[in-house]
Amino acid sequence: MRAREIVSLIKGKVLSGESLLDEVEIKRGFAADLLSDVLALVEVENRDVVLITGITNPQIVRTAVLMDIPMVIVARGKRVPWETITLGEEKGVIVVSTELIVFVTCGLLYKAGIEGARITRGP
Amino acid sequence: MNDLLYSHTYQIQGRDFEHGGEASSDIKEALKRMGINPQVIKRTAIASYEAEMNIIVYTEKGELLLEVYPKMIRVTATDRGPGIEDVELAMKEGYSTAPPEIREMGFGSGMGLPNIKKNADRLLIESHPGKGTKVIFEIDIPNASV
Repeated sequence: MRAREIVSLIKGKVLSGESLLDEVEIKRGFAADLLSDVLALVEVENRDVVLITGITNPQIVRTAVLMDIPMVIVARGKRVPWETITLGEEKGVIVVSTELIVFVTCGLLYKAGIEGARITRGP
Repeated sequence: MNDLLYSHTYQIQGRDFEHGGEASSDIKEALKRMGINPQVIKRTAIASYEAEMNIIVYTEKGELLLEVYPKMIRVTATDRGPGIEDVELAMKEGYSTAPPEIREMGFGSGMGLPNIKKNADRLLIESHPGKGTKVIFEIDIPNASV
C-alpha cells in the first residue's frame, strides 16, 4: 500500500517526506512506544515497514533511519516537535501525525491488508 | 587482526537528546561506504545506538570509537558517568535505573545492554562506580566482505 493511501486512510497530516509518498510502499507495520523494542525486534527486509508510535522526539526518526523504516505515524494527535520534523525532512523519513489512537490506526491498516512486521530472532 | 582499515571517534554529549543517535547514523553510513554486509551494518548500528543512548541518558559526556578490521568491527563506548553498580543485574532485560522522563522518551526500558549483547558477537563491560563505564563490543564480518 502506498504511503499516500495510508495517509488518507488515517486522515493523517504529513509533517515530513511529502515527496516520498508515492514512492514508499508499505506492507507491514509495528507499533511501539519503546524504541528499544523497535531496535530489538523489527525485521525490515525491503523498506516496507511503517512504525506507529506515541513518541514524538527526534529519536523516532533516528530509529527509523537505523532500521530502514521509511514511514512513522505519530498517533493520538500528539504535537510533534520541530526538531523531529526537520530531521525527518533531512533524512528522508515520512512522518505523519494522526488524531487516531494507536489501536484504531493499527486496526485500519490491518483491515486494509497491512500485516504485522516480521520479528527477528537475533543473529 | 592488527590491520585496522578504518577508525573514527565520535564525541557524545550527555542529555543531548536532539542529537542522540547521530553518531550511530554516521557509523551506519561509514560502514555502508565501505561496502560491508548489510546485516553486519544493522547489528553494529543498533548496538551503537543503544550504547550512544546510554551515554546520553546517564552521563555528562562520552565517546564512541569505531574500529573496522578485515574480519570484525569493534565499537568502544567510554564515559565518565556514574558507572554501573551491578553489571550482571544491568544485563537483565527490563532492569533499569532510568527516571520516568527518559522512559517517556521511548528509552530506559532496561533493554539497552541486552540489546547490545543480542547484536554483538562479543561484549565486555568494565564499570567503576563513580568513575565511569567502558562498553566494548565486536561484530564479526563473515567471509571478509570488506
